Amino acid sequence: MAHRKKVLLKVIILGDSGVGKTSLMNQYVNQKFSNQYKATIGADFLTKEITIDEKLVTMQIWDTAGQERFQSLGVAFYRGADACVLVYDITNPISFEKLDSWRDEFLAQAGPRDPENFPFIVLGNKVDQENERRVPTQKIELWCKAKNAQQPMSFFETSAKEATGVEEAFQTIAKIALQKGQDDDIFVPAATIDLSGAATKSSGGCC
Amino acid sequence: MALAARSNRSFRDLSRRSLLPGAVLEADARQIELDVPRTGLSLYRYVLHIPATEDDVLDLTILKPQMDSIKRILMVYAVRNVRVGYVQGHADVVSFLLGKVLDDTNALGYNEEHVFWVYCIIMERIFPSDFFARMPKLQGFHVDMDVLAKLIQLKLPRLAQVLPESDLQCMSSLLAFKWFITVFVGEVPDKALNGYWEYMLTATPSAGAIAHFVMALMILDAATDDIIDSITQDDGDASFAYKIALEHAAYMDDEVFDNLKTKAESYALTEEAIEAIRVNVRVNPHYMEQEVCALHGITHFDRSQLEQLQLEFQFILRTTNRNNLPKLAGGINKEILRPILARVIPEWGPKSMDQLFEVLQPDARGHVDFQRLMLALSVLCKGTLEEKLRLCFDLYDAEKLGHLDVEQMILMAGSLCEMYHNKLTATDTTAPPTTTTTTKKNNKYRSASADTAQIIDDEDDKSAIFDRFGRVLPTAFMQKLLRMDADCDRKLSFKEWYQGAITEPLILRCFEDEDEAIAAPTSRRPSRSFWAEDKQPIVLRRRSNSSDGVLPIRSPPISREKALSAASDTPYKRKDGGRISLLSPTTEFELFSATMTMSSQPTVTPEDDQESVEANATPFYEEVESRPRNPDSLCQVAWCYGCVIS
Repeated sequence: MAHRKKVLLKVIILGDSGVGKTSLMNQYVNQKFSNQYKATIGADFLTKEITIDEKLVTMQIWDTAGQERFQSLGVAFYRGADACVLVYDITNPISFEKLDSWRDEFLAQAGPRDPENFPFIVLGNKVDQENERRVPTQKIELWCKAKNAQQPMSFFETSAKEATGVEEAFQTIAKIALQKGQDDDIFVPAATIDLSGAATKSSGGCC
Repeated sequence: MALAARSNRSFRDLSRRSLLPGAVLEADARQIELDVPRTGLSLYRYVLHIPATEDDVLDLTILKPQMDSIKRILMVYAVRNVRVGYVQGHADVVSFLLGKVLDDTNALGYNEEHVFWVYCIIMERIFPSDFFARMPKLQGFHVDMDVLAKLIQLKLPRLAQVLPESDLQCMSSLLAFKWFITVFVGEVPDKALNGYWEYMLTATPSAGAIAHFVMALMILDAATDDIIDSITQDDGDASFAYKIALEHAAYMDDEVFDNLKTKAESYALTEEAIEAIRVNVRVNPHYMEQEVCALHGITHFDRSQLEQLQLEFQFILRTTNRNNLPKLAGGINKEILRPILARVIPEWGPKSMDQLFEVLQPDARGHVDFQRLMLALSVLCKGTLEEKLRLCFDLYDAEKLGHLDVEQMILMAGSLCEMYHNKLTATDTTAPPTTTTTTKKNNKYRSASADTAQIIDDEDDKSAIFDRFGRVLPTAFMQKLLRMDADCDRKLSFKEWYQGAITEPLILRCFEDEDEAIAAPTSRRPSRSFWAEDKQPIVLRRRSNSSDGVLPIRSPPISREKALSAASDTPYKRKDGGRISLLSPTTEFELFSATMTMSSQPTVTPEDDQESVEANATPFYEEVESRPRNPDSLCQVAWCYGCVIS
């Protein structure tokens, strides 16, 4: 394989059903939007190669099911996650209130060494429906600060439909995760380096 | 009788109820609303037979009748099975069924009711009852997910060898989600899907119930070479193995029906074998803990009590002679349950047993699992007066009409009478057993409440007394029930029942806590037990070895005679400060609980005398093996032992 020693980042998208997780992933990886996505069952992933600080990084983005009973996908799945994207719908306050439970469940399942500083990012999706907004921006700002006062979580307001903020959001999470991964590598070198050349495989969705 | 129809309430009744506000939990209703409009692709594929992708612009307006049908079917199912409600992805499963369960007489080509019942078969007969449950989240599914990983190791060693354990777990869990939750809908080509569903529904029930494992292994078997290539050449990991398996599924060949049959044989997969693995996966502390967490807070039991009962339930599952039971899908059946209920809630006599069993909501196989048993026992043993009155009312209001008619009131009066009788008898036997067997004849029996004071001669033939008892007292209860009917419409509403019952000593006595009854004045007690020399249940008080709720690590020295006598048919109520137990104390259980708790506390105290069962493997096996027991259950206990220790 041409590219040995590539960096693989495993990013997991979580959030309530119908907030647009599948759409965000598809918009970021394939630059397309559809009204026809089926409800996601279990998890699917797409990969995307990006360059950050002149380093080639393969992002493996996992889209998950939103119904509450699917919150636990099995410990094996979360193990080795490098970053987590929490998504809510700005027109749906319940999906915002559930962020806590998604975050807690993730930390419980993934069991990262340093849960306080695990790379999270929050996306408020569907800003294309601004006139139906029911979660004000201040609210999410406060929430991010409340979770970690010194280093508040980054948040973006996005529209998977109109591709607003999607690219920046995923770039940011990749950067944070990479930074965090390098910090951790001082202690456990092999933790995030995947000797994977398999990224050359097809990366299409399954449906 | 209407009661028998309780779990089989007709589609029309259920539809009517599903329209009432609050009948479907809000979360389920919301999710259905969200998912039904997302079935466009499935409906195009399975109903209109037009291939479409998510990039196509689909006209969904022509699918409105189908979408309405899907919504109705799912809402009705959510009413029928509250424990499951709606499972995300099943809007697509129902879409597939609309195109599969055909009915030419209907303009739409299907009949909603037929589709509904086929869906019920899948949910209740093919998969275990907690497979899709909301709490603990998809527990039965997670068990099968682990079973799949084990099966890959056992049946597909080539594949298992190239994947590290954690990758194998990850791959099999992701595949299980994709394939099992959707019952393969949308995951394999249409012809293969038809073949699989036909096999699942038309093969013998036991073959159908494990078809999902055979199908998964079959696909993985075919994908093995590609996965091995990917891993050895490209340093791929579990995620790519997962993608390869999904791709193989999407392009699998069409001869699924016949292949499933031959593959099941070649893998030597039987329902018994799967069930044996499931039972062992279920004792994983994680699942046990999840179950306790889910039940704690919605029952009156505390954690330690739930853990104790859970262990006892596991013990029952393992030690029951499997030869008499074609299937123990994580639950126990009526025959096993009957003596347990007779021990734990002796006041509910045989007359109420059938109704009680319905309240436990057995699954389609007639099995009651641990969670359902606990929910019912929580009310029956420890419920508040209102809960008990509610339950008693629901027993007879099988159709949930909110009122009892005269026929149902007669049934209820009969049960109340029996309970009343049993209560008095139970209180009597709190005296040492010797006194009950030596009581004199010709004592007078006095009932507790003054207004129904009835003096019944204790005649020589006890059955005659019971006859007479049965004849006299139910009428008294019936009169009480009729008097409660405040609006004289010959129907007893719950409100009338509740308000009448709480002011009626005769009925209150039936629902009184036994401990209160013991504290009550002795004048309430009858002077002798009618059951004393009978084979009917006698309630004896006996302290268990685990009175403080902490399971014994080691069993005390137990002689064989003692063990045998403990295991005999004498019914016990092990009750310490309100604690209940599903078992009569047996040596086997002490051994079992010792092995189950050993992993956390493996120390052996040296000062044990030689007779004691030491908490290590060798004596355990010797001890168990020296006893003549069903070899199958022996193997089960031994297997579980290994499972917990490793």
